[in-house]
Amino acid sequence: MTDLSELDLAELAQAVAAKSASPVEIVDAFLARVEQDNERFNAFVAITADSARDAAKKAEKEIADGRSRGALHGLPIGHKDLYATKGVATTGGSRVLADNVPDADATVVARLEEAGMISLGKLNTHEFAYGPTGEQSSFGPTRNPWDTARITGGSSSGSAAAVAGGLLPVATGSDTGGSIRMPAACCGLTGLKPTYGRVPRTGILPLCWSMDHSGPLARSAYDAALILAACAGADGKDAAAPDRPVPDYPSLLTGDIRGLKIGVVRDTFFDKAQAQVVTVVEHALEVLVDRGAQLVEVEVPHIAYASAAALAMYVAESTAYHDDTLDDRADLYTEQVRAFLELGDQLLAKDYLHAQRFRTLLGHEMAKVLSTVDLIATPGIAITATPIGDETVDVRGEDQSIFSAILRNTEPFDLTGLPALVVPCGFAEDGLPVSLQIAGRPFDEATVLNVGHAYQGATDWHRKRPAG
Amino acid sequence: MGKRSQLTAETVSAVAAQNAGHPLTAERAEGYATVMDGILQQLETIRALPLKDVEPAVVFQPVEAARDD
Repeated sequence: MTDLSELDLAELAQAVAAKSASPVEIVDAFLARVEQDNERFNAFVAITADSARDAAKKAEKEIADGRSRGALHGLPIGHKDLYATKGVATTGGSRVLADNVPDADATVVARLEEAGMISLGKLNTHEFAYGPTGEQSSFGPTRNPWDTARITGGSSSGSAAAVAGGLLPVATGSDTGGSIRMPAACCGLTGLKPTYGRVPRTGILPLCWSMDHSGPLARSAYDAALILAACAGADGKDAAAPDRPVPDYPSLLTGDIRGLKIGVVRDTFFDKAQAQVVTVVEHALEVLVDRGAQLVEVEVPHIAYASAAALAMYVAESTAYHDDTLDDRADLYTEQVRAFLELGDQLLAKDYLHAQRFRTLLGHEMAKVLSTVDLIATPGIAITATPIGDETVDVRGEDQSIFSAILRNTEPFDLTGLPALVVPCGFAEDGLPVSLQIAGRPFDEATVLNVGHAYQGATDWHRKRPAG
Repeated sequence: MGKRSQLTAETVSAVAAQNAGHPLTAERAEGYATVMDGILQQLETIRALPLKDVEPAVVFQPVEAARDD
């Protein structure tokens, strides 16, 4: 008999439609995996088993009565503990919010529930999403299912561990410097950061207002498209979310990428990545060529300055958000996050604004490149998952800070707000997942996802699972 | 572009206590001075880019009534 927890969203939806599996059976299968493996990964920080079982029974009856809400009806999901969940603690992975129980759901949570999805609980996060490793949380570090001595990447660490470890078929995440794509890359998952504003952030604890994005960590590009279709579109509350039509993303994933021009930016993205990562990504690009895409070498001027500008954004905006708490409860933060927050007091307004000017400049440079090619391809992240507790990593013989190395390839697309997808594309010499990143034009998630879908139609890396 | 002098623990301490209202221990101020000086040096490199006629990516939008008001 098929282990339901091994299936992706689309396969689960087919099973429900074919009546070969019911929402109750599916929810029970995933809850059993949570019970069995959560202690190893530290992915869930709150498990809502009773309400999930109740919701599954309700979904089962609705579907049996002919009132299906669509492909996601009756399927499980988990939410990063940054998303407000009515009646369920939302802590941001911090002692600061240990007693915070929202009285309303985040827009994304509400929309997914409206689509019939069933939340199994809340997922660990690097404290307030302020870090790329998933190590600093009041609940302790999240562990990578491919090697539990290694980081998951962050900040959506619990989301990645849960999906990679088979505890969930999909989870929500948030991405400010790469916090969906870094953990997806470290854990061999598909992670989508949509265009800035494509998905409303209402009810999601902010890290950095001008760069925060919401999106899914999933088992395939198609599954990410299913979630995006349910979450995208203005909600009238998030000023960054424009009132633009929401395409039916899944129906646009034809897998046909013939004639697409894919820009390859060697500077920074490739030449500062580990050689073992680049080798795997080069093979992935060959697959896209085999599918009919054309590779074009392109340059993005000033790309090397992106990390400095991103740092100014985080440091200024996050300190402003946490200003009141720093007054009297600074000792409740983890040491790393407290230090970053207190550093923000030292940044001048003009430094922040120069960094914002750089964002405009980089946006224009990216737009020029994307007027000559349809997409940009890079390694998802420059390194593979590092051991928990390490602070530096070897990149081509040079010891680099893990924070800078892991953020380097993802940050530029947060600064520019462009949609970006990572898909697993193989394993490095150390046996850990490697990822390909595809970025596109603003609000062209369909093309970005279609390239991922085409790649996954030709390969099976997204179907690989860690040993139990 | 004015030249910035190296950030010292004394400056960090004074800014934290007097400007930000978040006083620091001497040990923290020492550590932050080193880290922040590195960040500020990185930001200085951005100043050398062609930013003269570039506006910051901060756009003000007049607030309209929310849909459910």
